[in-house]
Amino acid sequence: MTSIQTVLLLIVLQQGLCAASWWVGGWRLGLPKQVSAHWMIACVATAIGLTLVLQRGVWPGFVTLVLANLLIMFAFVTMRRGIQVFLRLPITDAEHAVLLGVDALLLLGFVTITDHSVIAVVGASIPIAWTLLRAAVESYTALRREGSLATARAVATPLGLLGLLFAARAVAGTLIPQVAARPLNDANAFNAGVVLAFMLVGLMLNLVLALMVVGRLVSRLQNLSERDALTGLLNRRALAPLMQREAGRMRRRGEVYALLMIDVDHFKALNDRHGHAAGDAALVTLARVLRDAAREADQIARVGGEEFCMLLPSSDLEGAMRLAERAHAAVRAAAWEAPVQGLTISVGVAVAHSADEPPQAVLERADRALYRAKQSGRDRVVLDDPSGLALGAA
Amino acid sequence: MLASLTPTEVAFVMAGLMQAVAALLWLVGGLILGDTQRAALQWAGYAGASALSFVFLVAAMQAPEPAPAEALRAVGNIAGVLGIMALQRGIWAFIGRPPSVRGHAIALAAVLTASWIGLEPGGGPVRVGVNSLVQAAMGIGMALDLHRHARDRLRLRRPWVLPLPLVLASAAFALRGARALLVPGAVTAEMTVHSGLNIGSSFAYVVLSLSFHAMLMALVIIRLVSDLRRLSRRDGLTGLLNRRALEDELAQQIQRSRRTREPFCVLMLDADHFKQVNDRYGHAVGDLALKHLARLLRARMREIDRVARFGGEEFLVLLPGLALADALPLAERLRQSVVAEPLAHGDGAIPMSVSIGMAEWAGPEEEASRVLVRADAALYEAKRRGRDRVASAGLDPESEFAPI
Repeated sequence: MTSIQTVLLLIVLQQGLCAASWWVGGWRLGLPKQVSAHWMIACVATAIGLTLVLQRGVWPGFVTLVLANLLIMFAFVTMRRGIQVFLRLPITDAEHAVLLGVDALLLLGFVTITDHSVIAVVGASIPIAWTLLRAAVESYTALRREGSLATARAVATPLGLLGLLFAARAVAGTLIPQVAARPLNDANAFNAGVVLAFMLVGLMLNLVLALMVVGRLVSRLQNLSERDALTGLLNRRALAPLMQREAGRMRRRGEVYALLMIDVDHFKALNDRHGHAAGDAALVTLARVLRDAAREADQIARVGGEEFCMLLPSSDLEGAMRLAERAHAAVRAAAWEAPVQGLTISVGVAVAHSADEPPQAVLERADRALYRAKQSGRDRVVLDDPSGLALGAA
Repeated sequence: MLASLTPTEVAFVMAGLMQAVAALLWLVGGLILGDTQRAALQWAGYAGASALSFVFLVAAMQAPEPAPAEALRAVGNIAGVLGIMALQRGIWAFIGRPPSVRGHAIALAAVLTASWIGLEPGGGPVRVGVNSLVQAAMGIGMALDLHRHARDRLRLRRPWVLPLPLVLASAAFALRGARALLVPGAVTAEMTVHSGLNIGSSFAYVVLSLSFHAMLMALVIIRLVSDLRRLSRRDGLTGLLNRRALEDELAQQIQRSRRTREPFCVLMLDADHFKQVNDRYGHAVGDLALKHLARLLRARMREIDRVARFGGEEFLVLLPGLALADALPLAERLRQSVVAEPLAHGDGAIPMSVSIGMAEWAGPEEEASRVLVRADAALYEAKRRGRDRVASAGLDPESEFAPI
């Protein structure tokens, strides 16, 4: 047994273990079965492909070369397809078919014209590099959009690097064909490196996929514990650390922040008259209207049944009032689903006085302003009493 | 260079490289994992130390015997044991068990002493024996911890499956250690000789070290999935079922009742004047009030009842197997207990009351939404009559409400 054969055998073992792990993941741990099946098939295809490579010189070249390399290419394509299913991306089956077809043509060409081994090595490497790089870009964009930037980076970086590695192999095969374009079972140092790299790639890909699964679970978990289930806005618990962050920014950079407390007028009556389903629908619409009225950086939370809170980073008094008026007008102008026929909100506005004022105090001032808005007839925006500062100092 | 290595050495090089890759991935994973970051970093440490230990073991195979080789093996072994300790510390961090510094200190002392004895002529088997037994003992400890976690916290149906790689590895280490101590001659040439058994065991080594990572990944994923399931079915504040979960339960109950003709009731409860509690005492106290109500509900309802927080200050209970006449006394007792046990606040207490609407499922024709509408209408009726009371719905929500 040569060392390269030993390594290949170990890769087969490794991939077998990974396939078993994906089976456990899909059939026991509750991962999506379709996704697990893709990745399991990819592992099995890799293992079979490499077993065939091991038989080079024993079995005919058609099996050990063409079939083996096609199986490996198929494994990469299946892995990418699994990622597409997992991240709900469009499935690019036409592209997969073209890649496999090109690969097959090049490999068949190699079997018929054996001295053009460059074609085979380059031909096998480029589609793999392409698949990996495309998978890296796809998964980065998708995960980024879902809001898990750390996971996006952790997944796309190794995928991209591995793609570049295969591209480098294609380049090396063209530039130094006498070394780099010899079949894998030939025990030269370059091939030893390639086989070792293959082993690491195989492991890394599986770990990256597992990481992607874990990262996505973590972000969904965070979403669930930080978001209000009905409206998808933040919940009260999630708002507190964000307010702290704004207070810190004010301390460091002097950026003033503001808070709006918003309450739906006569919501109880609406609920009682039209039932809770109508009330819920109105809240969902209201959440959308508020989000549209707010700027990108503003954070909106549902802090009570019909109470909302908006955190406005880097907003002075004028900016906060402008936004409050805009939200107030947007709610009046919004189209409501029957049987609801128009809702209004009362808004209390408070701007942070100083970096030393705790966010909770700003919140209380906004709450008091909201109370005054309610007292003075609802359906209006009220700024926190400017004399509040003097009162606080007294 | 690779070509000059024996298959055993190749296997060890590969195992080292795989552990290095795994170390990298756990480091990156630590950035993503949030709560379990400390565990992930420990596991990166485990993989790193393990990679290092394989480097030393391969170097020992290449080095002249016995002088530098035995020392290299000793260093490799110590790195390996330190790695296993990191693995265990990671598991402890993950399952929230306080780390046992004493246990690790004793293990380390034993390994260091054995390594020192191993440097003497003929001391090799002692080093191998003690190291293997120490690792086996730690492996069993981890397997027991994981089994308990899988059974009690993750509630797996077959909790012994998860720690299986640890059990297998521990058994292998125990055998190896016992053999080294009982038949010292068998070990002196261990792993330096190119034999079928050695190739096999070095391959087993690669597979085992990989399966540890698969096991850890599975552990992380299982817990995330179970947290996700729990969170998506439970209300974060009170720990009661949430709206979606109760709607599921209700749909299931209707299916069951259509088969068995078993009656059931729906109880809808709303805290009276809750807004005033919030406005007067603040949201923190409002939250306490909701938790207080949730506790009373759980205490007053039966084990089989499904209690949910349905909205802000609204709760919903599904009472399987009860007709309205049997459910009403239960609701009445609940209402009384809310009045009898006000919310403790500072030195005083905040009096509370609830209004309750009851509806019994009207039979196979009735859909879930319809029962809820009738219970809601009964609740409204209870409010209208002055709150702090129970009202029950007739079959038609427009019809008269039965006073109680």
